[in-house]
Amino acid sequence: MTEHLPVLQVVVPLIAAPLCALLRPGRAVWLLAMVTCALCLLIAALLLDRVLAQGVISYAMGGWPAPWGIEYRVDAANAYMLLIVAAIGAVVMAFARTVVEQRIRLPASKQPWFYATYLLCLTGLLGMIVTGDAFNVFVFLEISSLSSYVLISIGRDRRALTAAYQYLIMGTIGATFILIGIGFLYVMTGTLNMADLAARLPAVADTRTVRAAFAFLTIGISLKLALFPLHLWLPNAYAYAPSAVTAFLAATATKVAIYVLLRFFFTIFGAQFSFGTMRLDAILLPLALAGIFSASVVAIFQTNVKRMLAYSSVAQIGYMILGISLVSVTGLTAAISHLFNHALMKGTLFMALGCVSFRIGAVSLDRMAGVGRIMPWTMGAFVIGGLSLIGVPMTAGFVSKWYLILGALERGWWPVALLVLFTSLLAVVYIWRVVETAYFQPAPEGRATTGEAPLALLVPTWTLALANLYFGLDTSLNAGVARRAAEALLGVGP
Amino acid sequence: MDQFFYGLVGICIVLLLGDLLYHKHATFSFESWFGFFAWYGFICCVALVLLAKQMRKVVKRDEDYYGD
Amino acid sequence: MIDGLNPALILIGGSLLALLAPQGRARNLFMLALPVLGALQLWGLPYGEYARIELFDLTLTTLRLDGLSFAFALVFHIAALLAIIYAWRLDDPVQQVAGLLYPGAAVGAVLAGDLVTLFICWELAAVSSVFLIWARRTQRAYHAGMRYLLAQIGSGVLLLAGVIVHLRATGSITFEHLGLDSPGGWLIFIAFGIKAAFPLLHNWLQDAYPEATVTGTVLLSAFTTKMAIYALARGFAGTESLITIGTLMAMFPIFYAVIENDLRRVLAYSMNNQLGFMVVGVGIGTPLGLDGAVAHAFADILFKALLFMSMGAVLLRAGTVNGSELGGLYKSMPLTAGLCMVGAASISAFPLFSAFVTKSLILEAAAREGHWVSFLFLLFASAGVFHHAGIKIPFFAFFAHDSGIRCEEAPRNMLVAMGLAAALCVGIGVFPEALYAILPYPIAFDPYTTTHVVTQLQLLAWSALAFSVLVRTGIYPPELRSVNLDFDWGYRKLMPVVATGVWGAVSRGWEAFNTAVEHLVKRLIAGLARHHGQYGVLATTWPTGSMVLWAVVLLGACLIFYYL
Repeated sequence: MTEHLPVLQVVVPLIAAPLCALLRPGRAVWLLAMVTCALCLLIAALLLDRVLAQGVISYAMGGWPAPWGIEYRVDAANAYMLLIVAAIGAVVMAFARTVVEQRIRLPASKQPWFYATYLLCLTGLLGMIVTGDAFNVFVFLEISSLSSYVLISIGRDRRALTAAYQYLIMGTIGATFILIGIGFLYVMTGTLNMADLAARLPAVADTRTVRAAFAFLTIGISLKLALFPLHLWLPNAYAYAPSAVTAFLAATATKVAIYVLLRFFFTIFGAQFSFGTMRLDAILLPLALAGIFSASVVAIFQTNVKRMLAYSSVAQIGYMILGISLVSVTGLTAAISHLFNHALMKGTLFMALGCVSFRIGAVSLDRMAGVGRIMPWTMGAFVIGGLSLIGVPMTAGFVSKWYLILGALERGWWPVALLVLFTSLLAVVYIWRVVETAYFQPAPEGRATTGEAPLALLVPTWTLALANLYFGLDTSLNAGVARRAAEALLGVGP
Repeated sequence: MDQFFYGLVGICIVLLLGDLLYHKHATFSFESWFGFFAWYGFICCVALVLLAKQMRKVVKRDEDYYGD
Repeated sequence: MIDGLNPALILIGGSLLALLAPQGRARNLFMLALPVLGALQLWGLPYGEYARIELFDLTLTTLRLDGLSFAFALVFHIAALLAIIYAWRLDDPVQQVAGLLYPGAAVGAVLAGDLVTLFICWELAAVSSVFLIWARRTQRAYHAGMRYLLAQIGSGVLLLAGVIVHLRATGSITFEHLGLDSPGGWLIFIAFGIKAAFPLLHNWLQDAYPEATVTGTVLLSAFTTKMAIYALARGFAGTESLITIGTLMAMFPIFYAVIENDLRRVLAYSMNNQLGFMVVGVGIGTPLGLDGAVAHAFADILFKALLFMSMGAVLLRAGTVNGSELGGLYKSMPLTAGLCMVGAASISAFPLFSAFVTKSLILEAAAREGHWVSFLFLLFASAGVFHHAGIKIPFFAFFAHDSGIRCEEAPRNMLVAMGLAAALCVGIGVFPEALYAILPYPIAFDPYTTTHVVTQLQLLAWSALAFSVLVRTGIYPPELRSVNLDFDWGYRKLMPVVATGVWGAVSRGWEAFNTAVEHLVKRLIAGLARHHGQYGVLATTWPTGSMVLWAVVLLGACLIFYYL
């Protein structure tokens, strides 16, 4: 059984998805989805445990050995990613039931479709991570993208539809670019297996086709991970999607895209080619810095808190890309660690906002005035998530900021380190605006004085909030494993 | 109050004379001078008060000097 | 006893849980249980190092128990317990939480085995304690709290800087003997010095403590400065300059204490003076000197708490602690008066009271090492303490001329807390061996020799005589409502005045510059808002076509870049 773990990771949610759609509407659907997510988390945890103990796991689909068949290949980097996605998937699923039952534009009879789509999205994300086949990445990317368009479009706000439509266009262009890139590589090498590609590429590296493939992959992946200035689809998609969907996608979708970037540019092309010959860092670094700065400033001016956090996500993605473009073990550790930490903090923040909108029906700053007094637990979680986002010591966010600054200093890039510190102050500003409004301003006229969010929402939210604190102290996973993954990607580790 | 004061004077004198009745263990030579601790304490306190009184001329300000 | 559990966590964790308990007796009982449990945990743990945490590449030893840390941690628990009883009727969650968090942080600091943990506790103590000042909820307290916080955070920043320098140079963060010559030693020394209220660095203490709430001052008096004494004893034992610093510290506050009118501020000055004795003990650095510093810190926490509690009770009932407005209160508050006098006798080192058996360790250590100048000054300071804390406090509050104030006796819970503190003061004085037994170094010292008892009584009696003579002859300065300038004048008056002067001199140029900068900043913000603001180009929803255009432009740019 355990040798089939890599494929089970994908197959379990894939089979559960249509089952959900077939079941009669009701609690049972959610329960099935919840159990599926929990199983995925269990499988991911087991995989990580095995990889850390035994090294790389290679699984041949249907018994066809690579490079003819599809290979699932799990090393420290993707085992770690699987754990992030599966964990967030499970926590948000626990959160989703109440939201789906009461807060989205779906009649009760259609609600099973939500769970089916959610599980499909999860399947796609997990598949992209676990597979060792370049074309397979594209297939799973499409599965996750198509289902996420659907998930976004069922937000209560009518603007969710336009947002989903824009995301669909941009996502499809991104996927197409990626497909073109993979196609070029296939033409040149005759293989789709990642390890095989990596072995054969150096021979043909100095051709225009490979360079074009490199360009298409750069832009295609950058679109999916919302690198500035290709992030324009993201703010609306996050702002108008249902809160559970936002929490899930914000914490996982862009992270997986970053993982794909790491996989393509470090494993397939190799760090030497990507950053030595092609100078990818010369493109990524300025865009990352511009993105961090610009998106942080935009976030300060936002009045819709969800949209504000969406812009903050663009800035946070900038931090990860910045870490990658340092091309060092410390820099990559920072980036990979931030994948995890950002999933925790944004998950917390968006779920806390979900609690707020569940009770008061809006997440704009003026409507949120005084909400800290009526929803102390919710806003408590928000504050913890906010502190982590700022990077206060003893929170998870500090860990990645620490490595990022260390990495920048290692390269002697003082200004970059200073910019990271300065933009953390910008994060203080936009988080403080919410805290100030929620705690120190009187409630607006006419807002019903409802109470604290139900426990079904609070428990998952606080689970992630406490995880922010826990992983701020015990850094063995988000820094220790991240470092191993970074070393594996750079090919310097054991 | 007078009784208190004269009582105190009495106690002081008794304690001072107490110095005659036992062998003082002294680390420094000045400690073994007759009634050293008594007159040292007295002089110190008088000096303390007189100095503090002079100091008041320099440092005393109105109560809301700092304006808060 | 839970193996390896840090007692500090009981207080810190409990401080937040306390809010869950319903206001009133349930919460009070819960809070009362915390220091008791903490003390039991502390008592049960064998000496050693526990709870190591890996943080990045550093190994933190969050719990180290040895003779030095044990004595401090124990007395901190006692002080927290007394304060909780004293604050039994208080209905203020802010003070209740701070009243547990702050002792917890202090316990954590003295149990910290490494400098990083020490720093974290150091800052936690700073931040949690300021709420005890702000909880008075007056403008004056707010400003005093702000100045206090600046000093405390400043100390923390220096400590952090010192730790970083130390770590880079030695690769170690273990908190052991540092000395001034170690890398970063000076930074850490000054950081400790601020909290220990070294001369010139002392003003935050006299400034802020009297402005705190009735219970706040009691708590404040116990932890921050003693934490610093512990840190000095751990890191800088035997540093020669500490003897000079400590002697100065013991001397100069007594002059201020004589002319100060706010009796809680008199106590703050006298606290400074007592800290001086401890600093001298640390500076001597012999086992006897260090034991003396620890023992005196132990005793000082108890009698200073007792004195602050009695003055707090006076403030609560009579509404003021200004010597000029008080007097004759013994008629209304006989028990408080009696307990206050126990505290006064303790701080003055009367035989059978606590300071008699602790301060003598320090004086004896100074004498054995031949520091005769310090010895004489400390003797002077001892007479001074008796004069201002032993006589002045009870005399002006409870006796002197009758002010006509008639009020109730202190509430029963306060009397219980004061009674316990008084019992401990006398207990230590009568049974010094019990305290000597928990000191870091084994000592054989008998405070009750004929010489010691008689000479001490001579010193005290003749000091009292001096006081009486001066009062009878009218030479004694009357209590006046006033502010006495101290070194804080530098930053509270001189700096603003100089700043205003400089400001005036360059005001025209400045204004021009200012307008220009303002204009620039306005334009910058307007520019940022234009692009990044809600309807700015970077923040609005873009047409899908433009998004695609961007993607294509970038793809083109990439292709060109890669082909080149």
